[in-house]
Order: sequence, then structure tokens, then C-alpha cells
Amino acid sequence: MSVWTTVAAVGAGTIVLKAVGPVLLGGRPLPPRVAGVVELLAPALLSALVVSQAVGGDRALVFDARLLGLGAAVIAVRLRAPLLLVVVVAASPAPSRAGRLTESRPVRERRRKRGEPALAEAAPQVVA
Amino acid sequence: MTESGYREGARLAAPIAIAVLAFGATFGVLARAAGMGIAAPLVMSATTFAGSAQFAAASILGAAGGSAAAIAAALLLNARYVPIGVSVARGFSGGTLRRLLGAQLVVDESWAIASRRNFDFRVLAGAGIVLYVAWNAGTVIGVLGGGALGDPRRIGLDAAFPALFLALLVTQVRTRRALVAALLAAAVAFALIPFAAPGIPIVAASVVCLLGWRRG
Repeated sequence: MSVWTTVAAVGAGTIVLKAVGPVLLGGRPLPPRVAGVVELLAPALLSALVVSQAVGGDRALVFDARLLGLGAAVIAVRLRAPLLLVVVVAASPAPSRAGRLTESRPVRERRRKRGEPALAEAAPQVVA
Repeated sequence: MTESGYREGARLAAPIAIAVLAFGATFGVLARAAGMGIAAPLVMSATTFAGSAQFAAASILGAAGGSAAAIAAALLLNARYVPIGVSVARGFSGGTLRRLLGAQLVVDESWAIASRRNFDFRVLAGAGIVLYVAWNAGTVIGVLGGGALGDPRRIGLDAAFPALFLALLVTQVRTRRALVAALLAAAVAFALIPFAAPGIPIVAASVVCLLGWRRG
């Protein structure tokens, strides 16, 4: 099952990555070029995650209510809101309260697999 | 008698532990909404103990991105613990087991607390244990409470993931070089999304880290 494979591999891999410095290298420094490369991994991946979670579909760019949430999050982050508040603020404009613009494809697929109706059938769209 | 290092670490971590508890609860809710079930998020928090990577894995699984991309993205994110581990290794003492367990207590927050003055292993351990308990307790609350929230679509969880990664990104962009890497990675992901399966654009965007090679 892919969830458990992921949990096991990420857990084991992280234990090893955290142990490299204190256990394996015992205080010897990393080569500067390697350190320079590793330093940029987290910002690069988090940025790619923002983009793919905001406009990613299944092999398609999907522009939907997630962007409204992200816009709200940008404002919250600029105001230095705590992380939980950023997430709550982002989640609140997205529900179908005022009508979702469209439904992202992965969400539609997941819902279809669960045997639930598509959003368009579940609630009438209110698109201005 | 001065305060022991362990106790000092625990005391300094206490205010942060509240935020970590909430962060863990957020993970529990989102992991459950992403279809990870109940037990898997709990085991992941207990064994991985690294927020960003856990959120990355959950979000990629939730987008039907497959386990290979989820594992790659999570471990590439956690690669930052290699230089962090190297920077604190001199403060570690004792045998391999003690070093191995101590190393697992290193997260961004405990590392920051223990590095305020000269790095102190006991402060790291005290802070790390408090944060570990908070993170796992939070995950339990989130996983169990997440079911009570009902349909994830009603609470707009689709929009929660990008917001969360944005908030985490801001804490990691501390240099001009990191900003350039973040912008380039965003462009790479955007360009690949129409052509690649979910998850692949994220892993592919990590190649921009090679920009860091230039600084010798």
C-alpha cells in the first residue's frame, strides 16, 4: 500500500539524514559546495509545493478557488500571522459558501472514487 | 545550583510547544483529508518528526502523486538536516546509540533553542523531547478531530496546503540566493505541471539547488 510504503521510507530516510552529522561524520564539516547545494533544497521544494498545490491538476493547470485561499494566505503571512491562522484564513474563502469557481481535477477524481457526486451536482454553482 | 541543561531546554521550548501542538494537529487533519487514514499519520509523526516533509508527503499522496514522488520530495526536504546535524555534531558526546537518539531530536526549533549560545546537547535534548511530545499529541488531536470536521471540501482544505507551504517557505528564504532558487523552482514546477504526473514537477524543481554549487 503506497501510504505505508511512504511512511516507512520517509521515516527510515529521515532517521538516517538526521544521523549523518552526529553519528557518521562526528563533527567533520561538509564540503562547501555540497553545503551550498543542500542549503537551497528546502526553499526550492517548498516553493514548488506552493505552485503545484495551488494550480496543479492531473497533468493540467487548474485555476480555481484555491487561488483565493492562497491570496488570503499571502496577506496573513505578510501580517506575520501564526502558521495555524494562515492555514485557517486560506481555507475559509475556499468552501462553496459563495460557490466554488471550478473544482480541481484531483479533488473530483478522489470524490468520484469515494462514490460521491461531483460538486456541480452536489451544489449549484454561483459563478458571477 | 544552576538549572540543569535539560530543564532549561524544556522551559525554553514550552511556549513553542503550543505552536508545535497546533502544527501537529494541522498535520493530523490534512493527512486524514489527504486519505492517509488514522494510523499512518500517527506512525509518521512518531518516526519522521519533521513537519515540512510530512506535509509534503501527505499533500503529494492526496493529489494522487504516487509514493515515489512523495518519498523523494520529503527526503529532499529533510536533506537540510545533514548540514544542521554537522553544525551541532561537536556538541554531542557518548556512544553511537546516544548520538543516534539525540540526532532525532534535532528539528528546526530545538536546534534554534540549543544554538542561542554555545551549542549545548542537554538543552537540545530537553527542548527536543518537549517538542516531540507536542508534535505527536497534536497529530493525535488532529487525526481524531479531523474526522469530526466532516467533509474536507466544506472547510476548504484544498487551499490549506498551498497556504501552509507558503508559510513554511517564508521561514526558509533568508538569503538572496534562496529567493532566486525559490522563484526558479516555482517556474520549473509551473512549466512541468501540464506535462508530468502530480508530484514529479516538485521533485524536478529541486534541481535548481545546483545553483548553490557555484559558491566554492
